[in-house]
Amino acid sequence: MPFRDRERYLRAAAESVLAQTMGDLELVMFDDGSRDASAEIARELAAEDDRVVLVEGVRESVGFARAEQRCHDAARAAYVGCVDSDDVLEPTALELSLGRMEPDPLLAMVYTDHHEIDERGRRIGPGKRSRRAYSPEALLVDFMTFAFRLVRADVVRAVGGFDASVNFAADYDLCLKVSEVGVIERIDADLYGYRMHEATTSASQRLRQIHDSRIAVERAMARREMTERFALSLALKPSFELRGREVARGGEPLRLEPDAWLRGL
Amino acid sequence: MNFRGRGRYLGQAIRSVLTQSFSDLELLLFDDAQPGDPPDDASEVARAFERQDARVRVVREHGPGVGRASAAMAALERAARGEFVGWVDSDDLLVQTALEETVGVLRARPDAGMVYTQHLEIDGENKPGGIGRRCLVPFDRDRLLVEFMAFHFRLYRRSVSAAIGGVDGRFLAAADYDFVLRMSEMAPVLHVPKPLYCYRVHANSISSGRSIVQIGESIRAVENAMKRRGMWTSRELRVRVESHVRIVDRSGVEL
Repeated sequence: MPFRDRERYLRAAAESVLAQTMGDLELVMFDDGSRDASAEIARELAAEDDRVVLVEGVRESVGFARAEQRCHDAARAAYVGCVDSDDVLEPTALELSLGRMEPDPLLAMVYTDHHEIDERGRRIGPGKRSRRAYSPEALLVDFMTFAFRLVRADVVRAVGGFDASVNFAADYDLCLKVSEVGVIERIDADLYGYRMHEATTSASQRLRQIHDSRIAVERAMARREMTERFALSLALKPSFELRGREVARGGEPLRLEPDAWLRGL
Repeated sequence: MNFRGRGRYLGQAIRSVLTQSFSDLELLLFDDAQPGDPPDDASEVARAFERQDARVRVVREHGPGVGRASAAMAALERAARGEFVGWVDSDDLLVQTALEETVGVLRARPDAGMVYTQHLEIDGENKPGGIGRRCLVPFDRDRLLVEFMAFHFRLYRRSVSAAIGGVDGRFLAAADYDFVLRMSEMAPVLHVPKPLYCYRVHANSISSGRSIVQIGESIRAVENAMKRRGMWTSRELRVRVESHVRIVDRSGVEL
């Protein structure tokens, strides 16, 4: 569980992992340059529970892909699951996914359904994306395996892990690569709470995510030797909205400079 | 109008301008051929019209950045001599009375800087679809920050455009949005609720929808406008982008 500036949600995320019914686990955490109290919260968690492994953090963010990779590098278990630092896992998530994977050595990865929760952790409703049917081809157009995933650690290593050249879609890229070497199955149970909140993604992050996803899919098509016959078609529908600017705790408005990446376009 | 590599509809587009009921016009065509480029059908079409009709002038400009729409818009604007300027894309069509009606509006309202109309969507065979939805949104200077309703056809007063420094050629894909935002801050923008422009929608085009660059630039144009308008510290722009991915075979059929 890498994290950055998640003081509001980090404890809930970590505790949802530590409260799993399958308790024989390690929670690997990594501070990716937090500027709030997140690192302190992680230290508290590590002091409270010796299953928490705190990887040495960094001052400047290394980006999503490298942060995920650092956690995977430190993990010692044969199976690895990803939980975002603002989301929560249902108590039986590990038990059910591990129960599916352990007897079946051909399975490379399983993933679960999800529901959406609000800033206070209240259930908003079922999520749609993870309910779409999986196939290696369907994964090219829909990232349905985005919620809770349990993957064999040796498979992650074999496909090269998280690729920083598609940083904002490194998890999607990884799933595409896994889908080309092993079997992926969906667990028909809603075991992941995906938090909807204002800071989920800024416009520039979202555009970079779309951009990196596109590259990840194009690379997958090239690996699958589809490029000669097929092309990727991307339709984007933006909607703009003006709101009163949110003021952070210190009284300073949030984000007073346009995104650097947008200026560079 | 810039046209390179878009020969298929260029003749129709040019004729739709030259047959306007308002005929005291100059049609500027931008040829962005670079030295060494292979000959292009569209260049031939443009030159033929230039020979036939004294109102047609082909503008050529070489240099970095030429070839993108905003550079063409900037070059054409520099070359324009008329009191009013309007843009027609090289695969679209102008309805015969478009200029007459929009010129009439700007003449009757000397305070206004720009007028725009509705547009009708047409397909590759000129079959009409519906009236474009975005131009049904009523014009409002503030709403322009979140919706680009002042779409084709636009006619503007060249003196007002000169006062704001014209088209900003640094934008690759949202120069028109940025331009209209800045124009709307200088002088009133008027609307003619009639479809006087035919906008061609290409079915099955591989790059359908708006590109990442265009959305990113639109955000930048709006954020710049918010700063100019003194809204930057009190308001913020939230953007959502829905993304729909399809895999199509090379003839455009979905997998």
